[in-house]
Amino acid sequence: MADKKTMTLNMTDAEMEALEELCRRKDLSKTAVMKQALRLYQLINARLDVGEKLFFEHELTNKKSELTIL
Amino acid sequence: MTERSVAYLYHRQNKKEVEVVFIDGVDRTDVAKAQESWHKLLKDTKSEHAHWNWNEKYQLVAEAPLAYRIFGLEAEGQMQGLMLVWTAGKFCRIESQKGKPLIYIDYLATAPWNSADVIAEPIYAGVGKVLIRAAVQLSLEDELQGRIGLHSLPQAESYYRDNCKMTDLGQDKAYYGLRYFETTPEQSASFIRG
Amino acid sequence: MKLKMTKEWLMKNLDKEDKAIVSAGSFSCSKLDALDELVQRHAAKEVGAVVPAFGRLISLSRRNKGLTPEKLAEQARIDLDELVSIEQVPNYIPEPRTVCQLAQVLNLSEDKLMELSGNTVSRDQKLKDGAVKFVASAQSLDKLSRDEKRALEDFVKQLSK
Repeated sequence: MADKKTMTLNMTDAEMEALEELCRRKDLSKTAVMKQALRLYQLINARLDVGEKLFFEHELTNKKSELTIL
Repeated sequence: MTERSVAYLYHRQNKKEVEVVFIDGVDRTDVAKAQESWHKLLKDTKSEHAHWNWNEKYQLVAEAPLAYRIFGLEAEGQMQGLMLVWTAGKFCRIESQKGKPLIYIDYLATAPWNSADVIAEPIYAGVGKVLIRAAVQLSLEDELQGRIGLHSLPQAESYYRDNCKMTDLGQDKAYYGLRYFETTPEQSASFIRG
Repeated sequence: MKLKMTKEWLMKNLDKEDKAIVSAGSFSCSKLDALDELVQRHAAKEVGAVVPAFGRLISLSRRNKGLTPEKLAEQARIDLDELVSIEQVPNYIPEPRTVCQLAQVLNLSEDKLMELSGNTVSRDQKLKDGAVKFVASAQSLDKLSRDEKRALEDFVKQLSK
């Protein structure tokens, strides 16, 4: 497997706060949260590239709303 | 990217442990070979995964290689088991772990010659256990505390509940009515310890 | 990722393995794999007499085998509630897993049951006609009469074609 690489991220206070909140909720380190985000972003884009759409669906009402990624 | 390491299975006829190859990142060619040789034996059986197409499943890995990973166990030049996992986007349903990310086993199968529902004298034992162990290890390495989840095919329900000691969360009406299983960090730690 | 495991761990955990079946993943009936065949279960459009025939078939097949609902649910490893709904609620569409389990225990064609249950779209006009006749022949849910038995046998024969 390729060696791991390190990078530095510049984030606003709001972004850092959001990241820290996700770490708390998901019981993950900052690195783990960022990795999860990257995987999801790659997956979403792969699906969009083949013409699929991403929706949220409310569990109780079954109401759908589309998530658009620009 | 493919990485190989040593694993072990039990050869039933020879009655001993055998060193096999664990593959992280089974490539398209090997997946296609496995699909062809497995399908030949499965196609006329009532095996619950007889109609799976691993070539199609591989496509998920090709499109999103961070989110999907495919693992295999190889011995005697043949794939003895395959597992496709989803590494992001699935979250725990067990109350105490609710909302926390887990490694989701999308598909797991042993080669038909290892399966008692296809052949009277299966050859290798341990494929399921070793692949589950790999999923737990991945979960630990990804800092997900060992949490894993899967939907069991009906014939394998008691295996995951009683043998692997996973939590049975009941039938999932959103997923063909299949039973859904998960592990807590403690259950995974116990599984690894044996 | 390099796998970390020992021979000892394998042997320690194998004692209990015996010949267990280990598959996990999505459900595989040949029809369900073709997504364009899959009927949205809450929006089934072609129910007609097909789904009532499914409930009737399950009920009579169960009685023909001399099984109580509890016994059949146990053998098929399905919820008793769902079995009761199948047999008694008109147009109830069961889970695909339930259909496949019942097919195995009652020794019926899985693919045909998927169509009859409303889980996949049936394009077999003969099957639909047979379903209508079968439902029309139904009487009470007590011991099978000779006519019910004959109707059941004829319909099962048609399903296995």
